[in-house]
Formats: sequence, C-alpha cells, structure tokens
Amino acid sequence: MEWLKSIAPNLVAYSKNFIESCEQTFQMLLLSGIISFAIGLLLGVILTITKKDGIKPNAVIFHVLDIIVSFFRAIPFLILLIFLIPLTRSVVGTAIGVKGAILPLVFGCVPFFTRQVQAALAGVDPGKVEAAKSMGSGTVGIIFRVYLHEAVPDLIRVTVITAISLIGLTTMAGAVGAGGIGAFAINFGQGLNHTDIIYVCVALLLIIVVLLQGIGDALAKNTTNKTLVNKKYK
Amino acid sequence: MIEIRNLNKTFKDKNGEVVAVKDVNLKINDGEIYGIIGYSGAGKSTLIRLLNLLEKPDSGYISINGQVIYDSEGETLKGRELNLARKGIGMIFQSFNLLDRSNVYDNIAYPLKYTGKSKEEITSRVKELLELIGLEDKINAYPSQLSGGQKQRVAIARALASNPSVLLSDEATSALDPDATESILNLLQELNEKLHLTIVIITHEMSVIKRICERVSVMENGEVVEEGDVYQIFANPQQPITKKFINSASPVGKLEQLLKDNAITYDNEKGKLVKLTFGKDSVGDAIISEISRKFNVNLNIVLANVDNLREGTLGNMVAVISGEEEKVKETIEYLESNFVRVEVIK
Repeated sequence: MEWLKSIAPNLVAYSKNFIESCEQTFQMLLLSGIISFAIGLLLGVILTITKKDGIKPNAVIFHVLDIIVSFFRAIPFLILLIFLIPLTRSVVGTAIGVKGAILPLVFGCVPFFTRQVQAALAGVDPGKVEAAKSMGSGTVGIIFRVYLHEAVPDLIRVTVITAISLIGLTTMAGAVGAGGIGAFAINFGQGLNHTDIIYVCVALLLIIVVLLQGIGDALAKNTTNKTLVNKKYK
Repeated sequence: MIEIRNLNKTFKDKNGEVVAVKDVNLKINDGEIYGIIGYSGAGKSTLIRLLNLLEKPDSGYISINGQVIYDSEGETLKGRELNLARKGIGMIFQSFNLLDRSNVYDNIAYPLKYTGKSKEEITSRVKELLELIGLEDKINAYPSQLSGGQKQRVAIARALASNPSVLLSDEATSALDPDATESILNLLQELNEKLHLTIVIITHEMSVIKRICERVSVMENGEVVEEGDVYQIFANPQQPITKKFINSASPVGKLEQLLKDNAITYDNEKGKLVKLTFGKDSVGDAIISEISRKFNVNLNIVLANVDNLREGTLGNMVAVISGEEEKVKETIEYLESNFVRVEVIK
C-alpha cells in the first residue's frame, strides 16, 4: 500500500471511486456484451441464411436487416449515444449511469458484431451445407450442426475483437454520464489534473485487453481442427 | 427406379440465361450403376443436383422408387417430406464436404443423430459402416489426418448411414490420384453388388464410365445426346462428342494425331488403313494370323487396345492391310462376317 501510495498517491486517495468505476465498467461490459452477443449472433445467422444463395433466401428480411445494420454501423458512437437518449429514457427510465448506458452500448456493438458473425459464417464451405442438405438436414439443423459448429474458432475470434471494441465504447459512454473507468479517468484524472490516475486507467485497460485477447486466442486455437487432432487422437 | 421426364433447368444471371438442363428424359433401373458423362458446363452436375432438389427444376418430372420428387404439373416435395426423402438418396461430392471439426465417428453419425435413435444404435451402425468401407481404425481421426481416398470413403459411409437406395456421385473421384480412384470405384462396385445400391455417377472421365458403369448418358449443352449400354456405346459410338470421349480413354484415340503428324507410312496403292473393332463375339479369336495365312495379306498393326468393360471385352485395332487389291477386299469381307467391325480410314 505504501508503495502504491508513493507512485500513485491520487489513485489511493480516490480508491473508493476507482473501485466503484471498475465495477461499473465490468457491469456495462458484461450486460451489454451478453445482450449484444445474443442479438448479433442471431442477426448474423439470419442475414447468412436469408441472403440470395442462403439456405432460406428471403430478399425482404435480408435487405431490411442489412440496411438497419449498415445504418447503425455508420453512426459514430458518441453521436449514437446522444441520438438514443430519448429512446433510452423511454425504455429504462434514465439515460445516465450504467442502466442508461446499456441500450446505446448494445446499439453500438450489435451491428459491428453482426458483420463479424456474417464474415465468420461466410467462411464455412458451402459444400458442407450442401452435403448436410443432401442428408436431409433442415434449416435449424444446418444452422447449429454445420454453420455454428464449423465456425466456432472464427466466432471466438470475432467475439474477442468485438469485446475489445466494446471496452472502447464503455469508456466513451463514461464521458456522457455512464460512469466506469473512462469517466473516472476524465473526471478525476484529467479534470483534477492527476496524471497518475490516467496512467493507471490506461494500464488497467491494457491489461484487460491483453487478457481477453490471450484467452480468446487460446480458445480459438483449441477449437480448430489442427489442435483437436493433436489433443484427442494418437 | 429413377425416372426423369422432360426435365428443364435454366439459370438466369445478369448476362442472360444459361440453359443447364434441357428436356432430359432418363430411366435408371434399380441396382444399376449409371454414368453421366460430359465436359464441364455440360449440365451434368446440375442434372444430378436436380434429382435430390438441391437445385429446383423449372419444369419436368422426377420420381425415385415410385415416389414423386418433383412434378411441375402436380405435387412437389417440400420441407419435412423433402428432408425425409433425401435420407433415401445418398450423395457424395468431389470435395468430400466432411465436417472438419468433427472426427470420423461424428461425421458418419451426422445423419443418424436427432432421428430418435439411441446412442448404442448409432454407435453400432457407425461401426458397421466403418467395416464396410474398411476404415475401422480411423474412427477417432479427423478429416485432416486422412488421405483423399480415405476422406471419400468416410463420405460414402456418411451418405449410406441412413440406408439409402440410391447413391449420387458428383465427380467423386475427380480430385483423387489414380490409386485412390481405383479403390473408390472398387468400393462403389462392391456396394452396388452387396447392397443392391443404385448408383448415379457424374464424371468427365471416360475411364470411370468404362470401369464400373453399365449404362451411360453423354451430355452436351444441357442435353443428353447419346444414351445406352456402355458396351454398345464403346463398340459403336454415334455422336462426335461420344467418339471424342472414347478416344480420350483409349490409345487408339491417338490415331488422329499420328495421321496429322504423318507418323504412319505405308504404300497407299497396295494397302488400306483400317480400324477394327472386336466385339464380344470375336475378341477371343486368333483372327489376325488366320487372315494373313488365308488371304496372303500383310498386317501392320499401328495401334491396339483391349478394354475390359462390365459387359465383356472390347478390342480396338488400327492396322494397315496390304496385299493384292482383290485380296484386301476379301479380307475385309471375311472380317466383317466374323463379327469384326471394319472402318476403312484411308
């Protein structure tokens, strides 16, 4: 503690706020992350199967979804935050705090993740889908047993990329009243001119990102065919 | 029996329409190995995909074992019924299309899972199929650890898992080396005999047709231009494209090139360049030495080949017969009366 006090005195002084903001960031990440993962995966699958040469082509659903996703992808997140304030208020009752941040975070994250899921599923050889069809698999069977099953390593990779970009979004949300590490760095670090706080926040975010990337890479590697082979066979 | 009547399929793209299958009529008998040959773009791959509705026809009629698969003037299979019917029609592909993240067991079990079968039933069926394809020791291997031929064997086992009566083979040996091709063709023939399996083979290689098919269709520009017994087609091809395919699979096919290169020299006055085809009834006879003794002519054999087709042996020979004009004529007549088809080339 003495050591920490000597290199980052202001952080120790505001340690309560620091821990609170860490919790807020964690909450935002977890909640918006889980919701975005579910919605993004669903939309990515729907876009993949409804496209022209998909397994359930449907031009209307595909184009409507495609335009919506592109629309929200095009809006810079800070503007999206403000743009969504009325909607957030009407849905969750408030536009500030962690509660108010979840909705804009989901809106900011889902389009990005949807596109990533689409790319991951596009990597599944259409021949495998055709083979599954020829064996009498239905739409649901092909989605789960071919598309999602074969794309697992890629889905893990894109989930990590999205989670890392989501950390960036949470700090931006912090700037407009959502709290979290971003807000802490701005309010206490920049606002009160305590540079040690900024440094610690940067270091902390760096550690989170490195950890996420490391876990993701390990998981992705463990689920690809080559590694499966070495582990389970021989 | 597979019955195809007036089947049509046209693809539309921004450059216009491409007729892939045009007014095709075929009857494929139960337990038969039926070949469909054509160059790429001839429509053969589309045709085979129409059979299990991987592509939807524009018009026509398809039935397999009495069940109507498609009928533009009546009922067409859809949804659950179509999926059920597809379980009765196995299919294998040029690129195997195995699931890379599943091992051999899970790949073969794919069509068996979620069908209400118990785990024990599935395991025993998978083991049975592995025995059939001779890969019992690879049950836990992943596709990336198998050779091309082994992958195709696994694909065959997977296609047969739900006991289909028909197996569609889309260029299944085209990506394999000659040894693996041979072993896959042997396996298909074995399955055909053992399980009374009807096999439809799409290929661009005449050697595949020659090796295992009983009947064949030759496709060009979406149409079936020639159809019949493989033996008959080989013995007496009608269409130029059929002749081209047959020449591609036989040393006798080199004749044209040899003639062009002036590599065959003989006295045009005294000799005739002929192509002899020995059918089932004449292939075993020592007819060449017989005629040279009997008519006092000389035979210079330029090219010769014997094909072992399923229905019997077929011999081809290009030779120069030289001697007195009258004798050469008599020789040719004698050959023809002994069931040898004679084509005078020059």
